[in-house]
Amino acid sequence: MEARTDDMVAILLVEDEEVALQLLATILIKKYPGIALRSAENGRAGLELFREHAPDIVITDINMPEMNGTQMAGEIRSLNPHTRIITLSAGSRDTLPKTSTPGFETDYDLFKPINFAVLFAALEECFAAVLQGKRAPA
Amino acid sequence: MAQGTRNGGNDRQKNPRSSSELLPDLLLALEGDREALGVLIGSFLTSYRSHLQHISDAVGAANAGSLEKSAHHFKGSLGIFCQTEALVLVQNLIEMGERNTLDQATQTLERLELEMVALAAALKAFIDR
Repeated sequence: MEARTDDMVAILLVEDEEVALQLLATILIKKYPGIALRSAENGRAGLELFREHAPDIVITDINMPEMNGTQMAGEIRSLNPHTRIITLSAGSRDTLPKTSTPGFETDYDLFKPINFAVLFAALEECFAAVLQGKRAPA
Repeated sequence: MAQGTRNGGNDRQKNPRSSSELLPDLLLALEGDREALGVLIGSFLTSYRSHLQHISDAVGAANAGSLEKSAHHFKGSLGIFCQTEALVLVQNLIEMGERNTLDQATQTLERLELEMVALAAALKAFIDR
């Protein structure tokens, strides 16, 4: 893992399915070699990594053991409302579990199978917003 | 989940795509790195039998909750490489688990196993090409 610099965007990827995690991580590193990427295999581990490293963007699966993606995203929103959150779900909108944090909103809710062009577009909007925030005068 | 107002979302694919259509897109997303795609396919080929075994165990035990969970878990990786018949069968198994109606589960699993043999062969052929 590279040392994080001020302009480096940090991403936390949370996915319990090993092949899907491996695929996403490989693609993200290839497409965006400048990012600092960490990954976790469930929401609880993801939340711990978030507390430790405060990533700018979280990409998370929804249905996971230990703690699902919506529960984790709700906790993350309460820790830092500026974190960009992208959810990836294999279900339909009707079956998405309810968040434990009423009123929180994710930035993008994408569905599997992942359309990478859509994911990249979402990420690039997140990158722009994150970098704008980093460069804004305090 | 509250749907973000900035939520772009991605509509489900209107036309499900086979592995032969998905693999070139994956290769593109991997910046043309065939070796990386080969590694990912290799991981899938190694892990899919274990997924099928979990599904088979759930069907054998008539455990609807376990069937839903194991089939849903498999769908995550299967959907990367195939969106046609095999994915439909896995979705059917998920729904059987959700509804706790497992009378067609054994036949569906048998069809899925046959589809997986064909998919595995197609993926291996892609790696070897």
